[in-house]
Amino acid sequence: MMVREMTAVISFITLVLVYGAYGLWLMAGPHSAGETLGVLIAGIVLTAIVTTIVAIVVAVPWGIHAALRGRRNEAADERDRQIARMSMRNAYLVVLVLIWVVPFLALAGAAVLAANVALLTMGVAEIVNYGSRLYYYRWGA
Amino acid sequence: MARSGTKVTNRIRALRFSHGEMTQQDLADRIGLTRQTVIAIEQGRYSPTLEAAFRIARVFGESLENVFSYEPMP
Repeated sequence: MMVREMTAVISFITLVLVYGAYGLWLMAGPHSAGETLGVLIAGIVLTAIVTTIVAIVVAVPWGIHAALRGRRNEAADERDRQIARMSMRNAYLVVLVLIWVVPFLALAGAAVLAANVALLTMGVAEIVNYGSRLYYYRWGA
Repeated sequence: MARSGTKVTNRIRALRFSHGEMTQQDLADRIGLTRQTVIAIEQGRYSPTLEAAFRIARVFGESLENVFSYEPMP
């Protein structure tokens, strides 16, 4: 498994865990709007921090391992770029389908629910993005 | 872009062995792709761009048709 695939696996797992934990916490409610907003922001920040740390933690040992085996750290090539494009397109389709719900909820006065649907949109889109990458790396692009 | 069921096949593996048992890494270095991509091409999981296909054929001194073949799906 190469470093990009490994990073995608770990990012996928991290996203599922963080957004899944947030979803479970939300369903265990009721929670106040302030509390929900706090956890929501914390969840987004936590996801960004965890995925960044994970990317570094994965890349460094892989780079050392590759160097020890006499392999250079390979830059992304046409296949990597194509997989990234196709995965982003899949994620964009998810955003297109889900995001239009947000303004309606906001206009209906359900601001917290609108924020959560926006988060759900981003979360699902990211999961689809990394899930697609894994699929294309494993079974072909 | 390859899709499941694509009938693009290639002789890269055979050509590597007939060219001094060239490794996948050697080929990857010579055509500017990663070893993982060479593996994916050999296994039919990825169809290279026309430019990469020409580079591969040139490494082996073969024409494109002698390296890649395409059979339209019925």
